[in-house]
Amino acid sequence: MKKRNFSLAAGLILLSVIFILFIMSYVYLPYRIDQMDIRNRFSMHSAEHLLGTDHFGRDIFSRILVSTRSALTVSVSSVLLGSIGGLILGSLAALSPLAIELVIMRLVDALMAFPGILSALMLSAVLGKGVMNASIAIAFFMVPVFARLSYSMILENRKRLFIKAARSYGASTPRLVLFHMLPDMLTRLITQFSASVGTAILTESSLSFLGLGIQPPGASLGLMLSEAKGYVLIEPYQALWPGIVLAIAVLGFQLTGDGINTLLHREASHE
Amino acid sequence: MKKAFIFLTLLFALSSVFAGGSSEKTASAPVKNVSNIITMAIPVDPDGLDPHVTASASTFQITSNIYESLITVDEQGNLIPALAESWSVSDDGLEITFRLRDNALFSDGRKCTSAEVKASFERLRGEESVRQNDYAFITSIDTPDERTVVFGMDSLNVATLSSFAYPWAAVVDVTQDNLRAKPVGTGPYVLKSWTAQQSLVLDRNPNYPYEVRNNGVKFVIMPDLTAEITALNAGEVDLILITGDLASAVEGRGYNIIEVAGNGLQLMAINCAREPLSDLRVRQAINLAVNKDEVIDAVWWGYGRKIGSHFPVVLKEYVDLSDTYGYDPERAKALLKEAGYENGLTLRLDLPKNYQEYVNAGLVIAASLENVGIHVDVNIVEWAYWLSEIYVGRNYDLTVVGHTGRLDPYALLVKYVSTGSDNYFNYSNARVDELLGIYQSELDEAKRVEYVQEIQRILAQEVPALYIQDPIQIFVAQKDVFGFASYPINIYQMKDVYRAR
Repeated sequence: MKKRNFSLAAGLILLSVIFILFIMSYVYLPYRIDQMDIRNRFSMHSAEHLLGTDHFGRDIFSRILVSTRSALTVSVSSVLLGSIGGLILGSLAALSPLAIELVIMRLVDALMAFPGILSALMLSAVLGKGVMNASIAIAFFMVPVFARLSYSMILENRKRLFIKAARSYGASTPRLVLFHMLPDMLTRLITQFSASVGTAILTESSLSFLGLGIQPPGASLGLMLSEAKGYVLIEPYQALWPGIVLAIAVLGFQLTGDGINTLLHREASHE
Repeated sequence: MKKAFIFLTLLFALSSVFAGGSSEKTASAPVKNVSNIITMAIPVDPDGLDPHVTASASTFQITSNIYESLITVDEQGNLIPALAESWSVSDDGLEITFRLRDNALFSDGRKCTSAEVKASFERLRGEESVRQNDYAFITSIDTPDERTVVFGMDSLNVATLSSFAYPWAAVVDVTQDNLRAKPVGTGPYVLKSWTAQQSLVLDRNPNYPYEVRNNGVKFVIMPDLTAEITALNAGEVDLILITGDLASAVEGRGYNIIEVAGNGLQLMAINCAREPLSDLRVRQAINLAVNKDEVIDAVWWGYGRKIGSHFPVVLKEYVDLSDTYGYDPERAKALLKEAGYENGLTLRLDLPKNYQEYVNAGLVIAASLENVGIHVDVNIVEWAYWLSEIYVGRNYDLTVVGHTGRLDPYALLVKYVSTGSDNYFNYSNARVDELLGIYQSELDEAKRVEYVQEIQRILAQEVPALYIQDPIQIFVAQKDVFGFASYPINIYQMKDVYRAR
């Protein structure tokens, strides 16, 4: 009867790899990330350099460790920011008079129609480069997804009996949303959150790849890929490790999101 | 998606390495060998083929094959005959007489007499030309007979003769009204076809009297250098030009590799007007802290000639000053301590984003400076920002950039005149000003060389920049293609390139 939840298990395993790397970057860093050793560049895996060295002789393993910091901080903070913004916008739309609701939701539609990476590119071009601005830029295009989700969930919840009951006891609208609807919405929001973090990591890497996110000599997966691009004909393995770690991170978050989703659906069908 | 892209690229890279050799033999090779047409990959499409209305260096690489200037240069930079078979300069230096070669013809069969030359130079100095200021020094053009042109000038300028050798001083057929698309010149080739952003084919000019060692040239436009290398491996192109950072992709594969010390300079400019950098000791410390050989190795795979002053290796006035400040981090630290910065200092390093090699060089330099206690904030900027804020605005501490070479030392060094508009180093030295002032009017060649060398020595001592290298250009040709040479100005002489039997 009880089916195994493969995606959740796989997702969590992949995520734990990323989190181990993330924690390790604070605990034990083999080399400074901008420490160059020109004579030893493009070296392969060895005891000194676990994953070899890049075109400046910098340790790839150390750079990947540090990369997970920006990947996680930028993506989590931007999705957090975006989801709060979306939540506010969505509930505002759901609880407002029709005219305001229409305006807000069409605005969200317009935002949604706009390709995410494009608006992130545009914003970071306007705001300037750097980690903070990358986070804001990514948060911006996370807003519409969460706005729609919370909007539809509130509409749905409004019709349910326990909400009607609470309202009949005189609960105010903010109280209804925060204490009665939110706990029910939370599970689905977490699902969306997890999947969005995966997208955000990818976007952060894309921005860094294009030179708008993390700036050299810093380290980011996208930046490492971009630097490896110039040597792909002669030293292709340089692109391998940042590529794999990026894949693990994105896949990890996506699968976890999927896994949580099926878990909740199964619970729902058991009810 | 990005991962997929990377893997696809890897896949292509690997398959070209393993499959390239075999497909060359089966498909394209037999067809190629029949005709003696040379295919060269170039990164950008020319912006029109009229040499008087373009300023783009890459365009002249093509127009120098269609048109001729009165004179041109050989590989060492000596002036040699082109359209003019001989020339003479009057004793006061105010008059230059050129004698055209006998029976010179344009590619459309029209005769190119002194009147045509005069008309062409009038056009070069006219409204639509982008060079009109450069040739404003000509006050009169006389044509005593069909083959003689006399240029008169009002003031003495030692660089005058070389300005007739530049590819933009080419003689064009002024009766043509669309030279951008339908060029007519006296050079070895005529334009056969031109497909924008794809290819440009040159056919031999039947009216060109001298030897041309191939039956035509095809330029294919390939903006991506790695794509050029792939095409070379596949036998699709015969000749490419790469930079040192890609050299390892073509080494040891049987290609003809022609290394040429380019006429250029790459350096890290130091803003001498800014607080810590106005102190000579700090600038010296920066120079001592960086291992230039290591920078050249790291960024250009060793394809570069180390320099110590603002002067390219290929010019005859060059003095080797590359070891004025060798790599000595301990002395650098001592100098910084002496200057009062023993607790370290922070400098900003602006790098132009579109030049990956300068960004890379900047990162290596930054890492070296960190080792002696100079903290560097790397700031990667757009080219437009660089030009306006750094070059013109002079609002920077350090920046890495390259300068293209000139034949005339004055044009190179005038950047250091304290009041000069291009002195973005904010450098000022009375002796340099004085030397540059008297250089222009000095007629004695030996003395001029002396002045230029003294300026080089002063700059090497006072280091308004960290002079890195004179870049080596690397032309890579198929193993049966020979004859390509490089010149101190940016021209290609395709007529000398040939395919061995």
